[in-house]
Amino acid sequence: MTYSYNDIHNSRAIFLIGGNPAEAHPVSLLHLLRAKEVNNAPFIVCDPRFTRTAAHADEYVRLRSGTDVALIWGILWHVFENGWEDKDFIRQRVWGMDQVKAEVAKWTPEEVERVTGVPGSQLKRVARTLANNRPFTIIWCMGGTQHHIGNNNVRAYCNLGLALGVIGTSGGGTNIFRGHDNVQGATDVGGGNDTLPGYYGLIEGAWKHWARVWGVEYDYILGRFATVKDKEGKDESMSTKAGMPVSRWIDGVLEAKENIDQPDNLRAMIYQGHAPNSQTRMTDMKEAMEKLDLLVVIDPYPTVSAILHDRTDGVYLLPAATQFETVGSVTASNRSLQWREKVMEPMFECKTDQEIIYLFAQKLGFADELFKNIAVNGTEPVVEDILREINRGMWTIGYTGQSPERLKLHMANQYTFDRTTLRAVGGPADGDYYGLPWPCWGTPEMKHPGTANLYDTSLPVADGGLCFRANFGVERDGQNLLAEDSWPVGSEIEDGYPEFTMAMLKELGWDGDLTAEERSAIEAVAGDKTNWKTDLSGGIQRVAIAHGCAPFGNAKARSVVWNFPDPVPLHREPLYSPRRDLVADYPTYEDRKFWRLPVLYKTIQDQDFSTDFPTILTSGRLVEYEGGGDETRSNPWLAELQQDMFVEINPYDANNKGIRDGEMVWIHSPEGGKVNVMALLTDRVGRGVAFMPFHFGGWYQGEDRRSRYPSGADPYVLGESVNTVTTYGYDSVTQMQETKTTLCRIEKA
Amino acid sequence: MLRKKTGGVASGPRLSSALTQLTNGAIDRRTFLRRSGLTIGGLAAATTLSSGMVTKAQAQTAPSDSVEIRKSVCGHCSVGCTVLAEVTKGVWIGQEPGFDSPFNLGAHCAKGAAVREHAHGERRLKYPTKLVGGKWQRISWDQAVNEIGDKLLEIREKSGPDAVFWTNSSKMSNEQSYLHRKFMAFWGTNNTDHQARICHSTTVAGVANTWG
Repeated sequence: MTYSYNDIHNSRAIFLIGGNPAEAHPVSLLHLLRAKEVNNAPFIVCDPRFTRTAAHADEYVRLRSGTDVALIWGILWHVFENGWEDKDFIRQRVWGMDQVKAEVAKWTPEEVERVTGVPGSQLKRVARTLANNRPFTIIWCMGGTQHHIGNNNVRAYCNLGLALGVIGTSGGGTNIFRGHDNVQGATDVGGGNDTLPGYYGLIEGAWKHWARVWGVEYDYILGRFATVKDKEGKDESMSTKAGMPVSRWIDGVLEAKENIDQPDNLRAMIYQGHAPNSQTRMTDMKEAMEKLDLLVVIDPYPTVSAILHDRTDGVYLLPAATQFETVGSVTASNRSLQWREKVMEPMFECKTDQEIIYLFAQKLGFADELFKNIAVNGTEPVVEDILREINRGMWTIGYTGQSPERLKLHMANQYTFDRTTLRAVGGPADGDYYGLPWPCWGTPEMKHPGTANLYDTSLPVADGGLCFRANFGVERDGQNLLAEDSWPVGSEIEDGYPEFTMAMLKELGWDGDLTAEERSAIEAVAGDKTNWKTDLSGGIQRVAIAHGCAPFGNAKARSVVWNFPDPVPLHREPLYSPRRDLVADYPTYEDRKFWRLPVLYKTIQDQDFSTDFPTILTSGRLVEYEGGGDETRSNPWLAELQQDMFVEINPYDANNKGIRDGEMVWIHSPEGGKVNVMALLTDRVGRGVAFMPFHFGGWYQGEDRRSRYPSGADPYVLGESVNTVTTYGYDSVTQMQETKTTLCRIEKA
Repeated sequence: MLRKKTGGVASGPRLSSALTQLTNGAIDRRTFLRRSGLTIGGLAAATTLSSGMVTKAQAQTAPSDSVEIRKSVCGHCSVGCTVLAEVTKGVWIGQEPGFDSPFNLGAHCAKGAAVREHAHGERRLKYPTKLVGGKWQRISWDQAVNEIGDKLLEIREKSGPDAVFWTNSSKMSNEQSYLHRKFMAFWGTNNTDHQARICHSTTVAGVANTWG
């Protein structure tokens, strides 16, 4: 989220695509409906399904699943045609919009209707509504991201905001609603396969930075990783190679060894706090689980991992404590950190995740190194010490100012924070934004208030203002990538500038502002080459901000991402497309290999499944359940509300097949899986479209596997997992799985 | 299954009519919660209410200092709603939504109103368990950590540290998730990942590469 749920109070219109917050983020509707009711903000919802959120909309746009880029270009076509774009904003703060404009010109209302199914007249109305009601906020969720061109969809949404100049203005922005309580934080602190904490990446410099923070030698870390030979026969450390994504671990087991870029196949899988039934291709997953040497589940509930396979040995279930049985911080969607108190001691024999990690570190022989800066009481690491270590290392995105003491102060004084600006009005945290939304620059002692709205130049950086980051050099194709005639209020440099280094401070003559301690800390890292993100003293950030500058530079946003497969976002037909006529015009990618595994695109799209599997299948959330659903289906209050796994079918399709409401049906997948679910006849889905929720598990292709759970730990409600019938397809940059557009065949059971 | 209860006919302005009735005074808390709960509050509000009422009844008969309020945050989506947990003698007996939180302003959804049961749930995994010959067998933590650890070291010896995939989690706190990432670095593999991959990885990549 570039802003916050609360800042939506300032929106003049809401553009929501591929999201259903009325069910997935119900309390967020408080804020959305406030904009709608108080500001009279038009509420536009784009979704293949008429969701409970769409029921609140002023304008509902039903697009064919997987055609988001075409839809957005269809809106921008009217914007450019009528000259509604924000020309000043684009000149000052955007690079590459002319290339986007050239692509958009191809998307005439006729072509957009042919691809998306949305009439040109409706999109003209949407374009005019957005142009007339600025700033508007852009909101998206999984409906946009979970596609094999997910990164294209996302960048198309960003371009809509950039073209109309609503990025960096309160009431505007891209407010991306995240799905879990700490999916934002876990991403920030490096939970993914392709970066160390703070998005430092995996390059040698990143490892050296973190080795410095951890107080261990870089060579020690290097020695822990395997070394392989590169193409020229030189040694290469696996430490700099992105791991396999969780969406693909099954292929790390099943793929032939010679096809994967690591020394051996995966042999052990440990699911710590992760459901398996949220991942696609569960028929392949079952096979992968059965082939492993070792499968371990660490979770408060057994999860579907306990029962999906037919293993008889080599499976362990370890009871983890819930978030209510320990302390710690979580980062909400708006980047605010909130501190949880411990409600109760861990139940039964459950242990906290940090204690479980300690026990394994001890067993595996590196506990002393791992906990060098972190106190351990018995076998329980001190959580506050872990946050202090995060504070000492995560300079890139400003996770440095949020000390445990400041976070606890905010929680204790919640009532002092304004409900719209999130800023404390008086009280002990006066001037801070609630939860110190990152970036909260510098050390905790510097008392930066956090940044409620990103890239907002109307505030000084010291007050939560910002500009776009200079992260891609200063020039491209002979054009200036730095901002022009735009800077955060109070900046002493009244122009664009690159990121700060010690050398730059010296050139500006600002290095005299550094304290002796800061200067020697900077010297110790890399002398003049030390930059704002590797300086462990925070001195460079402090001085840059004191002069009104953003430590990360002041540049233009990129409309065109030249390092991605499609620099200008393009529409490409889904791998399992129902429209063979469009596959020729908008084909997918060639097969490639990245992140250690082969990734198929063309090989799959070349096969025509549309005759035998004529119905589009999409999936999503319900208000009663969350994620894989193991926790919530084990909760009696919630389980009572939602007892049957179901499929939504349009009455037209159902009547043609003789399917009655409430009857059981089979849904068949082109990859061979099938599920047995109850039919719900509804116009929420259009003709030729079926929808299933993804929270169910415990049934597999018609078989109730309840007896396989450990006694007394089976959820109250079981059902088929939609991902038993979802299919292959991974994003061309991140290997995000395709869950929103595939094909299926519906049959009476 | 969710079934639409109304006939799809607009019944007048939603929020404003609820508020008008509220100011007329003839509305009890239960009705208010139900009406202000958008489309989602009905049963959820009832759930909150019942546990809240139980607590209040006890509070009248028991000494007031026996119920402590602990502040937590709901774990079911990213809004970050404050949950006020009512605890007596180490037992979580009731919950209320945080009215002071600028995020939820006293609101909860069905899931948020039911989180107490998430911790106190009787269907939880209760002790380390191992599958032996197709049957689940209770074991000790010591045995579990030793057996799993030995197996991991054996795999490492033969196939290298990359033969192990160990997920991180969006359900962990920042501290747990960070510690886990660091743990994987010390084990020696990047084969770790979490729900963001299948949730907003394309957003993070797309947005980071556009804004910087």
